Amino acid sequence: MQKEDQELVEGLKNEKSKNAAFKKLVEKYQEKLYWHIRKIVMNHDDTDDILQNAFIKVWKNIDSFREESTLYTWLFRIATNESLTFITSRKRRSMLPLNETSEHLMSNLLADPYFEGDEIQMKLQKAIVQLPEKQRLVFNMKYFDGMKYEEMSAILNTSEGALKASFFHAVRKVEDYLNKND
Amino acid sequence: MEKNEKYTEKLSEIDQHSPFRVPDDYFDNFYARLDSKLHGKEENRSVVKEYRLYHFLKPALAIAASISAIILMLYWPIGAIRQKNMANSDQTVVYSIEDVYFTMVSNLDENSFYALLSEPEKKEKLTMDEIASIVNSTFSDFEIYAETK
Repeated sequence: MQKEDQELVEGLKNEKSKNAAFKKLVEKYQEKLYWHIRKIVMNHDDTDDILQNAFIKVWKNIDSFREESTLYTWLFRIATNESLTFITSRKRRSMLPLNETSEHLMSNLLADPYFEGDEIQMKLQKAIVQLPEKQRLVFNMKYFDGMKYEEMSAILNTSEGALKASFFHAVRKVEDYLNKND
Repeated sequence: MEKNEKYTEKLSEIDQHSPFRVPDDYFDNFYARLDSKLHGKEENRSVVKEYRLYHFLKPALAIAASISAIILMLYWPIGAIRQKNMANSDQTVVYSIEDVYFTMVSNLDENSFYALLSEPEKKEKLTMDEIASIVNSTFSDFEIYAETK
């Protein structure tokens, strides 16, 4: 673990320094975690809620963090799980069939007032939204975040081989979509 | 991008930066909002105990209020019915001539009372009309009815 992250963990596990360490943690990781969640749920307000819940979970469970993984991995795992749980509960509440997530995300994308991309970027986002959940996750983490397979494997608890296969299929589907909708 | 990652020309052309933005000052204000939410949740725990006591008493208070409301709702009608029954009862009140006399006298003012005493007796007996007039002015129709029933 990086020295800075190690110090943050020590600060968080100490009641006297917990508040100050938590503030530093939030300031360091809020943007990265925000964009990671945003790409999953495709909505700013939902992302804001999930991001807050993720940090609150970190605050409450820091003592159970065994430091077997890096702090970065642990944070991303919490954020990913919170995002996927949110999508699942949203599906249940709205009685959506399991395969209707992409329609919901598509409507979020089309209605998003914070989208500033051009036409081709919109097409790309539409292509990504139609991917199965795991492929969408992997594609976003690899293509936009440039994450290494080793890091993704720790976050998603999936083997590197499976992740590479997911990414390969995701890229093919995205390219097919872009070619068809040119 | 890792060495073996090659995208088609199409995908390579697209800007890999996120096409989304956030509201102004979102990240600047995020920690403050998170902090108030986090510590608001912790403060709420101390309120939970008070809430639990209130929550426990609430049904008992509701039951007590309901019973009181039922008693009040029944009291007035029952009271009214009882008064009505008393009015309709077969019991009659017998008024003696002395009661009539004392009632008349008690209603007189002081001057009229002394005038009455000093007046010579004009008659030894009251006529039926005079008696009827006195009775009508002293007693209500119901009381007369009750006496004559």
